[in-house]
Amino acid sequence: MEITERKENNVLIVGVNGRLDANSSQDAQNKLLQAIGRGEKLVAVDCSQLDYVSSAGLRVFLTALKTINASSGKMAIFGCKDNIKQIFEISGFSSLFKLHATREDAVRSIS
Amino acid sequence: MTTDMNNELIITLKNENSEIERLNGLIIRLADEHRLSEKEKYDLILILEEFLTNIIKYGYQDSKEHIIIVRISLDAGEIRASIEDDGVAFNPLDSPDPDINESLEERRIGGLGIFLIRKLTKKLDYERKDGRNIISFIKNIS
Repeated sequence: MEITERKENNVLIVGVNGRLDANSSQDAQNKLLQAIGRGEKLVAVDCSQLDYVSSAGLRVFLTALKTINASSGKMAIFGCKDNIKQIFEISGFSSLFKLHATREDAVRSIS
Repeated sequence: MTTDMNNELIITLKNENSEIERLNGLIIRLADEHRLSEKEKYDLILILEEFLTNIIKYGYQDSKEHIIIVRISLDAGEIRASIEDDGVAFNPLDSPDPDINESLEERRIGGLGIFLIRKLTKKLDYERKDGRNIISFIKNIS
């Protein structure tokens, strides 16, 4: 698992790449929460290189969304592959997160 | 890894996180041999990984090495698998489902692993026998 970060105007684009599972989820969560903790209010998570998410990975997204909402920020997700979308859907996360097709859509939704 | 006469794949794992990666490698090979779809392969890896993660994380009260046995067989239209461990008694069927209609504020963090397994399997059974947990499931495949 690899986390990338880059700033595009006032939006932080966080790439979550590889496998988000029980082994890697703590590291991913720490990085996301650190970004939110240093004051990032608009976060777009790029899942285009995310190959696998387990329940531990879903918890990372839920924790990050709860944290950023509590600090009056916004988070959007984009680029999920079909297998990942399926996991979001059956766990009911698609009602909590709108999954955007493109980075542009995601950025627009939180800007 | 062995295959017995009934064409059942038997995988013996230790209670270490690194073993999950090894299991996944074996499942990918099995899935490719049987030409499972990408979704079927993903689901099977997810189901097994959720169970194994729970067993390794919560199943043991000592720091000794324990053996977990995974058995998998593929028949026409379905995968049958079981996971056997000598950890503390844990019946996943007793685990309450999270309410997936809750709002973000209400939504609890956790309880999702077993829920995902329930959603991705046709049949899920649990048995406690001779001090061992035996979970078995059936999953449809095309």
